[in-house]
Amino acid sequence: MIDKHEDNMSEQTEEIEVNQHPESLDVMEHLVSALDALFFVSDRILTVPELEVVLTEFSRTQIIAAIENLQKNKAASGSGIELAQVRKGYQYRTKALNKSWIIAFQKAKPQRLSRAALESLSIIAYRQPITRPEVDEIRGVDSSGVIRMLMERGLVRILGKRDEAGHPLLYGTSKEFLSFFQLNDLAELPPLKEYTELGEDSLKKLQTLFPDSEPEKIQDRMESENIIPVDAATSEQPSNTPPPSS
Amino acid sequence: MKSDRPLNSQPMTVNPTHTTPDADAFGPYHIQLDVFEGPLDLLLHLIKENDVDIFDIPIATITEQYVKTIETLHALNLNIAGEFLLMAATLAHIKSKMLLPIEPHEEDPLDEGTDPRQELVTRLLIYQKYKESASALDQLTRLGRDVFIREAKAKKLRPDDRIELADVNIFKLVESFHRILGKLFIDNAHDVEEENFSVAQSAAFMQERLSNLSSDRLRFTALFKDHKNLKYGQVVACFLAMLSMMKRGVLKVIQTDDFQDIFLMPTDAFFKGAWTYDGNEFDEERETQI
Repeated sequence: MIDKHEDNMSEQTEEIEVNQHPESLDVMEHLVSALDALFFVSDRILTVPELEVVLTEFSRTQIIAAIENLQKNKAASGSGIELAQVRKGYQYRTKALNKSWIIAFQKAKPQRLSRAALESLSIIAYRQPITRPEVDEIRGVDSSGVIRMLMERGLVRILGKRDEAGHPLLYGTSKEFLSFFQLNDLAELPPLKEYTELGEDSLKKLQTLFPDSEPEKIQDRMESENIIPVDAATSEQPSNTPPPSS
Repeated sequence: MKSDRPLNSQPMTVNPTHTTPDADAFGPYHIQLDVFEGPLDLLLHLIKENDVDIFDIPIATITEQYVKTIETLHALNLNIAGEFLLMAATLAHIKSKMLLPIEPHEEDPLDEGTDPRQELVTRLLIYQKYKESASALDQLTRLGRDVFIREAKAKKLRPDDRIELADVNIFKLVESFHRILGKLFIDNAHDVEEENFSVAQSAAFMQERLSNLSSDRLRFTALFKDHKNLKYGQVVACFLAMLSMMKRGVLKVIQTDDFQDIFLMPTDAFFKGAWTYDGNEFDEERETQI
């Protein structure tokens, strides 16, 4: 009769309201409840493989279906929090509409990024792997201070060194960057605006001079670059890394 | 092709403002222009202001306005001005190139050669693209601004936990230390007094202060808040005591960001009282030297 999880869910939800014991809940109901609790206690993003380790009695398919149910429940219940999908994992985050209350409560200044920081960050994000002089070239100003700050905030990291004379350091975005902007991967970055005001000839000329940096191409470029690894200690502690020489 | 268009003669307003102390990328003496991130940004602004075609920039007019603007900025910030000046030179170079008659190409007399402005136009377009992507990035849902996660409580350390030294490096510690020293009144008359501040005494003093905390942490500077006649010796002794307590794992030292205060956080081991200050390595060293 009812073979879809969703249908099963809605029926079971009503039963919860009459205070059924958890033991008697059906599998899906039980799993949704368990996930709700796990996401509540976790102070980090949880991925399906991590959840599988804990929820041994359940299959991956069941867990994924239950996460979807949980997301729907949260959305439908008018809750102030939602189960956000971030970095290919999940985390309870407050809904954006509540931000002003939280900022007032925390008495903290909201996370702020200067224009210089945003410019450098977006250049690094779309053009990674990229060297500092290349960022400077695009912005027309020295970016070393901004990049250092972005590294200290954990948004930018050193990917390695470029295989060319002088071995310049290559910068890219960190895992924290994805979490910070609530993205699953770099392909989810907003698409770059095309130069609509350009004629076809100029557009071609510009694209040969400066190949495209569309979000979906970032991964390809990362793979095509022959990155020489720097030793692990250097990349883990960016503050100890000397600024790359120009 | 090279004729300058009539331009509106609206006067340029430059709005240099001092950045707030929390300006993240630069030190406290850096003055940033509120309006322009760099020469390319200023050029884009002038192009937009004058409503001219980016592919047919009236170099003479734009250069004139550009130079006028950087003259206003010049005294404000040497570092920025350097980059602005380089662009002024580039503009002047382009302008001079454009004044030269084009030598007709031998094979194709109609070929006018490359427009001297082309390279600049390309740079402007690329910069504009990333300037726009920066504001697109700014629109994204952001953790800590739009959405929040549950506040994770700072973990209390167990005695056998490794103290993470990465939390604050020695330069930050010394910096904080010097800030306190800088607050002390330096008496040039040089009264010689006996100063008796042992590290053990300071540790006992710090232990008392840290035991009666209302929160889980204490500013290093707050240790000396009530001291009217603070002496170097005392601050030095406290600093040494702090290092020693860190080493014993009863104290965690954190600094949230650059130029911020250093906080002392007593660990579980501290409250268990399983440690005593039984003559510390600094005092011991002094004794052995004697």
